[in-house]
Amino acid sequence: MKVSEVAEQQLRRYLRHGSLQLALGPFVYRVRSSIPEVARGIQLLYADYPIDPELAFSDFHVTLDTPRAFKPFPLDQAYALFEWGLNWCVSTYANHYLKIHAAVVERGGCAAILPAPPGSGKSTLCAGLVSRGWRLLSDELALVSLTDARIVPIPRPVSLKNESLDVIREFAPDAVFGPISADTHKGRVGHMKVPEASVGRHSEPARPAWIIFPQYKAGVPTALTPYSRARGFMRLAENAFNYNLLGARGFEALAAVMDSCECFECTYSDLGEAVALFDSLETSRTCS
Amino acid sequence: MTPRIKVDLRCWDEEYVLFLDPPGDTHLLDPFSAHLITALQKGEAPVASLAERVAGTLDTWVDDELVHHVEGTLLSLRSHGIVEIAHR
Repeated sequence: MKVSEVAEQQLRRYLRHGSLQLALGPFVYRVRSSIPEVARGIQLLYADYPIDPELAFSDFHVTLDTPRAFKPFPLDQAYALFEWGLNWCVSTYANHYLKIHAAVVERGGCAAILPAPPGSGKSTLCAGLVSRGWRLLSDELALVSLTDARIVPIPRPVSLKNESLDVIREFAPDAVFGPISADTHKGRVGHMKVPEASVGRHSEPARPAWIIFPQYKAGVPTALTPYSRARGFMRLAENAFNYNLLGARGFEALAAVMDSCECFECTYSDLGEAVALFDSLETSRTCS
Repeated sequence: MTPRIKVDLRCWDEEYVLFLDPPGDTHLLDPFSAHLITALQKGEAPVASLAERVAGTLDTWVDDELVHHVEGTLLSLRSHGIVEIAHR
């Protein structure tokens, strides 16, 4: 059953009773909240996601009602907090994967990993690519399998901030956005709905073929420059949440990723040009 | 190098990444440092012997410049906790 197949009142009942179990990639989240904005956001942005109220086990229990674990947030930031909470669960606890702070998109079976710090234009580029046919594996977390170094999808709504919201609205007029939270510690924040095709393939891992470090800079020409894979390894390790924790297993997983990838830096100021550049990427490797 | 430390050395595009377990540290190495690590993996040795091993790998001959380069690189590797230098 999908979220969209549940009546609004029933969805709110599930949420109030803590029996909404969202299946997102390899994880099941049991969500409890009586905040209407959270219900509205889930109904809109998670419409295509499978739920199962009868599941006996959930990986994470997420409650948004009384602020305890996190400092109090204004009510109009409840939906953004819900999304940040889901990120926090995985980035803190899911240590059976190597977790890299990166967006991941896929085309033709080959995945591109986009590691970057906040403010680099990673999510804007990711949203642009996804709105032009690339499959979303994640906007925030590259989950690397420790057994075969493939990327495990966790396709959740793309988090966009400030001017990026307007850029994507112009670039992809059909994009659907959830509640917009103003004046968060990150500024104005909104989440873009994931295309149904990406949600439908949420249990299909992909072989990484490219590692691309994006950097938005106003006025620069759009360019894809080859980058040393050894240096790319070090930057990926720095962007990982648990590389040091995993020790030799983390090193081996990351080395396997580098073995299968070409590495680039991408500077861009025009989203359309950047998407066209990604569309022209070719690989001599078989990604299946 | 301490025998109980497991060394994993990978090469991409003429640059190397070294992993030492324990302590779980990762280092980016230039090719000469990587060749020296490989020479050290064959066992501890005086600088002159290490220079011979590296010269064999690089298909060159041992001269003062190479020996100085080995000494300097060893000091640099020691400063990063990668090798230990025994004074006898």
